[in-house]
Amino acid sequence: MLKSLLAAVTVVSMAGAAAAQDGGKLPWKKDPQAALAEARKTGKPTFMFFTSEG
Amino acid sequence: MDCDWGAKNTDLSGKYGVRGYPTCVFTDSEGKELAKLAKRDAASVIAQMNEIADKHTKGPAYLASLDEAVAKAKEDKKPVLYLFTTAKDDSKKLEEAFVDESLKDILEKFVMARREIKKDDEDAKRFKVASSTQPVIFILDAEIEKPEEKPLKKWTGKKTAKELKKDLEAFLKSLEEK
Repeated sequence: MLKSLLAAVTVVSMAGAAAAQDGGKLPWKKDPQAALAEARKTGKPTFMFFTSEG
Repeated sequence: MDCDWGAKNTDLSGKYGVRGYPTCVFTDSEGKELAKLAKRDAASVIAQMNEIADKHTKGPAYLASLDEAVAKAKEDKKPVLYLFTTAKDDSKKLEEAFVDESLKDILEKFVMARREIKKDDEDAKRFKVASSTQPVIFILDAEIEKPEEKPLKKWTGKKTAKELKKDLEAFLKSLEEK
């Protein structure tokens, strides 16, 4: 499931995990710096997915 | 994030020691690495996400439903603060305000619950906020029947940490005076 995702970072929350559990999509952020900035502001950890399109 | 075999996002892949793809890394809110993804089956990913979210989320610990919050509030003899949020900026700003260190002590006087507003969400319907485009805060008395029908306080829209602190202090003061 995660292999198909190219977008970068999601801010981890119970809601995020619950969405995944229900077959929903994680709210991936495409800009890692923006995601880290949001994590700092909201006090949430992040989940980073490094991949390569090649 | 797409690393294009080492050609993109090299700062972050270097920082987190990425040597192959895919690699999944958990960090705290400051970007410090906490763990790599341990297992890749869906149940294990969810379990690890929940464990990390539980241990490393700063700010108040929220319960996820009215029923859970009321049960805990009865036990702790505290009012419930129920926060309904949306995906919009006002909600993000309000959530950020709740993480502010200046609110840490006052928020401990409440049992906290939070839910994202969705049209079919059971609690959003109970509180009649299912179509709200703004965040809504309810303060509830857990000792009464159907507290959602007689909230002690209801605030709609974003607030700064300073405004929240002022409003919550005023609420607690009014509660003491009763």
